[in-house]
Amino acid sequence: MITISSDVIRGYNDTIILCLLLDGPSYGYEISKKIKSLSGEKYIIKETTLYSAFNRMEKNGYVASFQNEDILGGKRRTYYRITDKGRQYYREKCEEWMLTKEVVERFIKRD
Amino acid sequence: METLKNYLENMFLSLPNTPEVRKAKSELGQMMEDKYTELKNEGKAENEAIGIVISEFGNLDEVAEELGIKTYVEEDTSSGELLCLEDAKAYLKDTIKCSQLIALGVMLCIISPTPFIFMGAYSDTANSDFAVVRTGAFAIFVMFFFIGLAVAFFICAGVTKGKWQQIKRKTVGIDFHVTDYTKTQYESLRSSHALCLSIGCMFCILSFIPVVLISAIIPAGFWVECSAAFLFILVAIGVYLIVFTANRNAGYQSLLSLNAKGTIGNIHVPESAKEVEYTSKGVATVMSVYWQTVTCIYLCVSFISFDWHITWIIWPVAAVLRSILNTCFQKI
Repeated sequence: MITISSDVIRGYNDTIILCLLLDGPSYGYEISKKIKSLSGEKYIIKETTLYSAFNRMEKNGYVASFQNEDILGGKRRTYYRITDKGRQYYREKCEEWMLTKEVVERFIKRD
Repeated sequence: METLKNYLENMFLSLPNTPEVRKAKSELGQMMEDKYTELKNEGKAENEAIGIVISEFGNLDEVAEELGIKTYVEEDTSSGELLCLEDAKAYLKDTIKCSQLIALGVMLCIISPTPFIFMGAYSDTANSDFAVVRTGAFAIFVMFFFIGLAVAFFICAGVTKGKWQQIKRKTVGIDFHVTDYTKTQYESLRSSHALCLSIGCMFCILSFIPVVLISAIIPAGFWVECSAAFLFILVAIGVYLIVFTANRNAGYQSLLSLNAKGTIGNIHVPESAKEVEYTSKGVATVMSVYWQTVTCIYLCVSFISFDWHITWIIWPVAAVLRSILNTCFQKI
């Protein structure tokens, strides 16, 4: 079975996470669950990868974290929300991907 | 869930104990817990859920790199092995044995001059010179017997301890499971430690009471002259309790401090057990052989002067001097 290339996807973990945060603030496990379901279970993000991405993006000011209680009431979790800088970065990454995809696509032969 | 907690703790064992790392640990723990709970709710078996969570956890190197601590992870896990629970249990058992032996040895040393006191008291009240010589010889014999026995105890304790020095050198640390076990044991001994210390101190402080009481009740004579011996015996009991509990505690603390300084695995070491650092190298050298030197001085002075009844004063003086040196030269 062919699996997803971690080298390629690595550059777009940030984009994927930011995209999900566009809908509203979220926390670690919820994000990883959404990635799994939206990718049709083809991409399962590792916890360490996810945390590294959050940490990196927070340092760069793309996301901001805050403590909040679960909607269902109960556990306190670290939530992340996207910042304006994050939105801008997301748009840039989207354009970058379009270009990348367009270029790579030209070299993909289907038969 | 316990398995996952252990897994996470062990992964973080050799990382430095900083706010960033602690945050990473709690965040990752939270994600694992969420995932585990959901898998369980979906009807997965315990083992299956744990298996999935661990297989999807990823590699900590990634996080470490992000936090700028890559070197730490590599350095620490390659150079040795972790102490297993059986070894830790055996070590603690041996520590208690050694503590008893050392404390008994010290106790014997302290009471070793008492035969002379009895002898002195006896010879003052005895009639014949022959009896005096005989009791004198007997007192010397008993004293050396006590000291010999004490030395045997010390050697025995040293040999037992030496075996563990080797193991300590080979191991890089203890995993979370062992830390947890040791810590629980250590905590459970807290009250016993406090009790031993306070009773020990009480014995030492109140050791003069028999002397005062006897001389107050009975007029001069054999028993009054013997009363000093009771002082030694009470001090010996007190010192036994103090030495025993202090050694036992030190054993637990040395096990807990096996993990490298400043790492997550090192957080359970009580502040007081951390090694004292000195501002000057000379003081550090002197302090490393402090008690050995004091013992040496005590024995030399005592054997030369034979003033055993007073030379014990070296010990309290040395203890006070040590705390003064510590306060003056300690690195803060």
